[in-house]
Amino acid sequence: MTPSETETRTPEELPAVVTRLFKGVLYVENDEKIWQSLLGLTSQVRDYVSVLGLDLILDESEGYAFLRSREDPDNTLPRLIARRTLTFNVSLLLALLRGRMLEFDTNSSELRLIMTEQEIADMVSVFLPESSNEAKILDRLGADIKKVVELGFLRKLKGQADTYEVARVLKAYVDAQWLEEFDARLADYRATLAGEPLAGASATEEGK
Amino acid sequence: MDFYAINSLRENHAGWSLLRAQNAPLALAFFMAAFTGPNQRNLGRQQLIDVLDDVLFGLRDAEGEERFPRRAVEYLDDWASDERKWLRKYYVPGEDEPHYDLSAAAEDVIRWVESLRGREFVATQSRLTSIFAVLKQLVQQSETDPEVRLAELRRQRDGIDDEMQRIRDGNIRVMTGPEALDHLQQLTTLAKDLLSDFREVEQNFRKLDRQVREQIATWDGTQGELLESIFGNQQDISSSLQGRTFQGFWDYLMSPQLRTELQDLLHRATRIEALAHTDSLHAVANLHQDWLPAVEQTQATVRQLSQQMRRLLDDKVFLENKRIMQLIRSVESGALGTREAPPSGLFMEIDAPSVDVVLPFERPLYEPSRKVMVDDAVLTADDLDVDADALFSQFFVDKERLRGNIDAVLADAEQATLGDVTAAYPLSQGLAELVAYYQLATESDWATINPEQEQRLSWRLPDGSTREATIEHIIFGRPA
Repeated sequence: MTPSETETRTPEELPAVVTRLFKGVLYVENDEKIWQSLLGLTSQVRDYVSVLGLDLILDESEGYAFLRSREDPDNTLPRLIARRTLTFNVSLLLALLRGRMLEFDTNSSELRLIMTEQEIADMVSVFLPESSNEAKILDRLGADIKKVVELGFLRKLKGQADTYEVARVLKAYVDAQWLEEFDARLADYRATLAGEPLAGASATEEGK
Repeated sequence: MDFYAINSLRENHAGWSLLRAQNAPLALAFFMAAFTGPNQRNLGRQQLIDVLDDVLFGLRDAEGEERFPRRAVEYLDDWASDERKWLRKYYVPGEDEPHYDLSAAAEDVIRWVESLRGREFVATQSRLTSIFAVLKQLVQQSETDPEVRLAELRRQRDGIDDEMQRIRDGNIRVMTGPEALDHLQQLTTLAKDLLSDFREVEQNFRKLDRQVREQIATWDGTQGELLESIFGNQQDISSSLQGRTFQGFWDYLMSPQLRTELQDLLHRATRIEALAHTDSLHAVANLHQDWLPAVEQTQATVRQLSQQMRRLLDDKVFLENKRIMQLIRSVESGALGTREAPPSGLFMEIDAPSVDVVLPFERPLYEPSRKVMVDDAVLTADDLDVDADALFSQFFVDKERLRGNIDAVLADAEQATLGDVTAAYPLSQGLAELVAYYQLATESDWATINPEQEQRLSWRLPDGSTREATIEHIIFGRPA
């Protein structure tokens, strides 16, 4: 840092907070110290990241914070935050997990939603095609779960086989807007499916 | 309570089901060992399993293995399951290990079972005294007529004056040993009751919380009406009857003056001569140390529940939750409709949680190898006491020499057994040399080891004695 920069009085903790946010979602329970600094510097952080076309999303009661691209209708800015593409199955898994979290929040007073792989499989299996090869389906589900873990919405618990915590930040990513889009795309898909029936696609009949 | 109410309790109450359970003695013994005995709550899974293993180990030793065939983990999972509800299982923030606490129903059962054993000494007199004290307080503090209250206070003052006069006359009445014990027992019971109250208060808060949640989930009207109904019914946790009573107790315990007084009294109680030899005195003196964490935990639960409730009632969340529920239902039915032919390829996008900053200089580039400076200066140390023989008795088996021996023998023959080699070049370093030969054989492509056959090799020690080893038959072949 050059002397002229220090004279503009960058708060001491700001670089640590901003770079930490650049790296990913910040949780209060994992990074208590940075979190405290963030609470003290919220407006500075907001100002700083807004220069880059980013918004700070800070949910104090849920205990997480992250950066999101500012709404940019004209697409003038190059994207600083990548968009990850998802297959239909992974998208569906995210939506179902979001639904489960909502139920969990309304029905119980616990803080952490913990699910076993079996519970996730039970939740998803209704939506999978009936197949004689169950092992294959479970394998694919395993891959989908891994993808969601990569995205940071599921976290494997240490010391407990096949048990996951659903990250609360999922609420912020899979929001009403995202689900609306999902729903619309699915409706489009069903419309095309009904328009040009596939061989033996009797399942689409009810969609009409 | 009529027959049906009791019957329904028998069928549905967690406590009663514990009493009826086949392995109730095991469960209760374990609960006492883990929770009520040491006055502990919030135990981690591993810690509980350890305690249960201890209990099981002792029992199996005495009762035989087949009496308790399941593993500790299975018992624990069973007792925490929704059908049993004897233990509450939950996850605390920041830890991946589940935690457990005794449910209030299970604690009631423990206390009841403990009371069955009977007391060695019935605390009658002190009970009567406390009944009088409570009754007096109830009557006096509820009296609204100032004249009556003043008269009562005057009567008390006269009583105190009389007592003081008696003491001045040298007529001091000291509590007898049995009386003191009686009071101590009463005190112990009260203190334990208080601790179990906390657990029950916490459980009641959770029940309250669940009721409000149910109300929110099934609410059809507007949010304003919902709030009105919740606050109208005083179901908000901290304003409930439970909440206010608990808060009262908390304030009481937190008052510095009262705490000093309590500590002082406890301290003085430990010095009462009549009680000097009772174990429970010590427990009572430390009981207030158990209260504080227990109260704090209840307080934390209430705070957490209230906070979550507030979040649930937040208008943005309230509306969004409704919308999200609709959308998820719609997505679910859509996904069911396309179950046999789900969309292939990439379907949706989601923002990555991190900002893409590629740091090319983080990648390792060419780096000229650095010269490592070796500091070979040897510091002279005082090593007079060190027995250096161990160092010098080590020796080195030169494999090249052995390989040379093999080659020399093979120069005259197509193949040679290890016996042939050692016959030509006798073993000089004993077993270590043999092992080195063995190693050479396993590494070489031209040697075979035949485990079916054995060969005996011998060597002579410096003191003249002979040693012999039996090893697998090794044949070295000449490299092609």
